[in-house]
Amino acid sequence: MHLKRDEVSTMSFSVFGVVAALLIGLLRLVLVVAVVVLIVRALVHMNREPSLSVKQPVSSGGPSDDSSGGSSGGLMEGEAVPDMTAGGPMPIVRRRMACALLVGVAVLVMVLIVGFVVPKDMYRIASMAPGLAASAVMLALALPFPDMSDRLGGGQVRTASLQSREPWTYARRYVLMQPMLAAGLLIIYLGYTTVTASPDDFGLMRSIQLVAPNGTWAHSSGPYPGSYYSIPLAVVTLVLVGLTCAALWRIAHVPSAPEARFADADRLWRVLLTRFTVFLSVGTMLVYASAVLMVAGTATVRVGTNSGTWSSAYADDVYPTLGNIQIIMGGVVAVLAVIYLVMACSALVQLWTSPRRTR
Amino acid sequence: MMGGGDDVRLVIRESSPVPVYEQIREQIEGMVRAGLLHDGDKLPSVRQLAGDLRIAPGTVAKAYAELAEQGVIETAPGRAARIRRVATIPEPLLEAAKDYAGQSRRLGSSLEDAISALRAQW
Repeated sequence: MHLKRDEVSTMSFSVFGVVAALLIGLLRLVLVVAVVVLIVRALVHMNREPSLSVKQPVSSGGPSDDSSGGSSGGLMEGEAVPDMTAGGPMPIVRRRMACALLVGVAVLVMVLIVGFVVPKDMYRIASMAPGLAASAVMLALALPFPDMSDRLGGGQVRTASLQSREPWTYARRYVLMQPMLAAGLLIIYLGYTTVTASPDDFGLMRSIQLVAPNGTWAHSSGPYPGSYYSIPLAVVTLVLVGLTCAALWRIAHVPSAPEARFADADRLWRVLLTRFTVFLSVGTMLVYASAVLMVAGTATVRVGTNSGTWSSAYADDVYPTLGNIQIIMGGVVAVLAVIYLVMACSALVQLWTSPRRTR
Repeated sequence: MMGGGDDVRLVIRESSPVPVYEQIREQIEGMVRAGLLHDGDKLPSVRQLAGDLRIAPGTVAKAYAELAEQGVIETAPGRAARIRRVATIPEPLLEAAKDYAGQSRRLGSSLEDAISALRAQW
């Protein structure tokens, strides 16, 4: 069977169209991957300060702070540097970290159980669980630390650094601002969803409504983060950012070990714990932001398309577009949230492993 | 006192006949004159230094008050103490001291022995 010229032309165009569409799709994928890689590199670079690196070589052979005097004694080439964190403040800090994580997990489980017990508010209570758990971790870190001098035997000779310790001693200022920035943006967005929400069949502000200009019909869709969800989430966010600030202050102001040989360990744990605190706090708020964006976006698309029954040629098209934008942004924010939580875990692992180095 | 790098450290000795506040005052003054602390450098708060050295805050406050009286530091309520511009030890003398300290350490001498030897020659 011979094809007519028109059919051949049409088929060639169709094949060309498919190939072009595939290439465009591939290009889009490459662009998205490139953007994500750039964002990750920017975040990693932004949140790392060379002077705060935890990979600085451990110094030795400095003036001795031992009253017995004598030479400090250097190390031979190739000899392993003793783990400067062994017996130092690290065991105390690790114990506090473990307690904080246990408290966080306990609060998470308890809040979820309460949600099950009160099924009427199950989703609202469950939505607060991650923020309350992170707040519990921050609270545990904000409590006073036990005195390290008894454990370390601060005796006749004691030393202290003359460097003033503040939270920005252990992280860049714009890193420390990230929890407040994330909280501010999240609360602003929750404000937006609050004012755009409508009452549902039970009179609770947890749906979004689209009403015809002439008032002949009205469609609503939920769940939507109206005041029923947004107010508790905003309160949890404020509590979390407040406790984050308290934890950062505590980390900087815990009295240091009174022996010079623990100076590196002292700095190490403060840098790592500061990073963990900031990254966990921001990661949690980004998780909330992502979830709120996706829930709000999905409800907005549904109400704009009448749960998918209207055609894509719907003249208004505002709600579906707005909804899709929110869903896409929710996806991007979810990626950022994962990055921050991974960075928090990385800081925690470094705090726990405290590397031993050789010269 | 211990210096070098970014971390300048105070050392106090309970066994010393010199009162603790005087040890703090002496060392900070010495660091300023030796150029380890510079004009405008911020000192830790009374509470921070007292907590790190495991001494009463009043002891640190007394040392800071005397340093302020001498004009070595300036203090103000609610603000961190800062170093004021003071005459420093001449650079050739600092270099000589550095050489002497290095030689003493190589010979295995204690700080007390090194100071005693210097005092004897003085």
